[in-house]
Amino acid sequence: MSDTFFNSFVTENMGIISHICRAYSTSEEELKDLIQEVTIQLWKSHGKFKGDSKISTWVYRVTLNVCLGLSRRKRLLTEPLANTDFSEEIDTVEKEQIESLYLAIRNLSESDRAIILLYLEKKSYQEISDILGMTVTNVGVKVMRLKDKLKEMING
Amino acid sequence: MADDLDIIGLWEKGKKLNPDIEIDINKTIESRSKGTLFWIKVILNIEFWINVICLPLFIYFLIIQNKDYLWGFSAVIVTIIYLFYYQFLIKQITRFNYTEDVRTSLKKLYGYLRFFVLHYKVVIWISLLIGLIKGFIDDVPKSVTPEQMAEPFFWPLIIGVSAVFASIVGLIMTLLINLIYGRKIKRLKKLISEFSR
Repeated sequence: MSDTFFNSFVTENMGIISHICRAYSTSEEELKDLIQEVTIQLWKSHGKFKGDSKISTWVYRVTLNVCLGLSRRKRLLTEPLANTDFSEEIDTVEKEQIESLYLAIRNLSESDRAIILLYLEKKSYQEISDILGMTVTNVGVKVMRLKDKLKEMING
Repeated sequence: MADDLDIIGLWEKGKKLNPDIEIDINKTIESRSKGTLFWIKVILNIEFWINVICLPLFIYFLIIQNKDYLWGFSAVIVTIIYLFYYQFLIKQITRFNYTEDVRTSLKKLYGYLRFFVLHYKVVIWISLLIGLIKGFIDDVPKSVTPEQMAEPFFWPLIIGVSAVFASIVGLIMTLLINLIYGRKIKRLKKLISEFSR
C-alpha cells in the first residue's frame, strides 16, 4: 500500500473510523485522540495486511482494538455520542429516536457496544465473528438480545 | 425485521448528519502514539538504559574499587540478564499486532500487562530480600557487639523486625503498582470474558 494510496484509503474510511471512535469517546478531544491513534496503528500495520480478509474487517479490527485497548480514565458523559442538533429535514419524532438510539448505545457495556456497532454497520454475523473473535452462534445470540434491549430503550 | 431496519435506518440517518472528522493524515502518522503499549515501551526503554548505565558502575565501584567480588559479579550477572530480558519485552511489544481479532488482541494486551506488573513485583521482592541479606552480612557485624549477638532473642528479633519492615515496604510498593495497572487489567479481563461468553 503506497503512501498516497494509504492517505486516500484512510480518507475513504474516515466515516467508519470516526463513527466507531465516537461511540467510545466522551469528548471531542478524546474522539480526535482515538482517531489519531487508529490512523497511526493503521499506518504501522498496513504492511501486514495480506488481503486474506476484507479490507473493512481489517479497519474495524484495528479501530476496535485501539478503542478497547487504549488506557483511558472513565469519565462522565459530558457530550452526546454525536451532534444531535439536526437540521429541519428531520422530524421531531425521528430526532428523538436518533437521540435515544445514541444514548442507548452509549449506555451499553464496551463489548456489547462493539457488537451492536458492527451490526448497525450492516456486517454479517460471520464478519462480526471474524472481527471480534467470537463464535457466529454467540454473535447471533448477543445481537438478538441487544436489538431487543435497544428497542426497549428507544421506546422508553 | 421491520424493527431491525428501523434501528439501522436511524443509525444511517444519524451518520449522514454528522460530518466526518477531518485530520491531516501525514501529520498524524508522524505523531506519537498514546496507547498503553507505547507507554510500557517507553518505561521499559528507560529501565533498559538505567541498567546499561548501572553495569559499568557496578564493575567500577563493587569489583574494582571495593573488591567485593561476590556482590559485584552477582550484580553484573543480574544486570546482564535483565538487559536481555528488557530487549525481549521491548521486541514483543513492538511486534504487537493490532490487526488480529479483538478478543485475541485483548488477550495479548492483558498478558503483556500482567507480565509487566509481575516483573515489577518480582523485582521489588527480590530487591528487598537482597537488601536484607546484604544488611545482615555487612551492617549487623559492624554495628552490634559479639555479646549482643550472642543474646538468645537477638537474631529472632532482628529477623522479625526486618521481615515486618520489608513486608510493609513491599506491600506498599505492590499496592502502588496495583493502583496504576490494576484497574486496566481488571477491565481487560472483564472484556475478554464478555467476548468469550
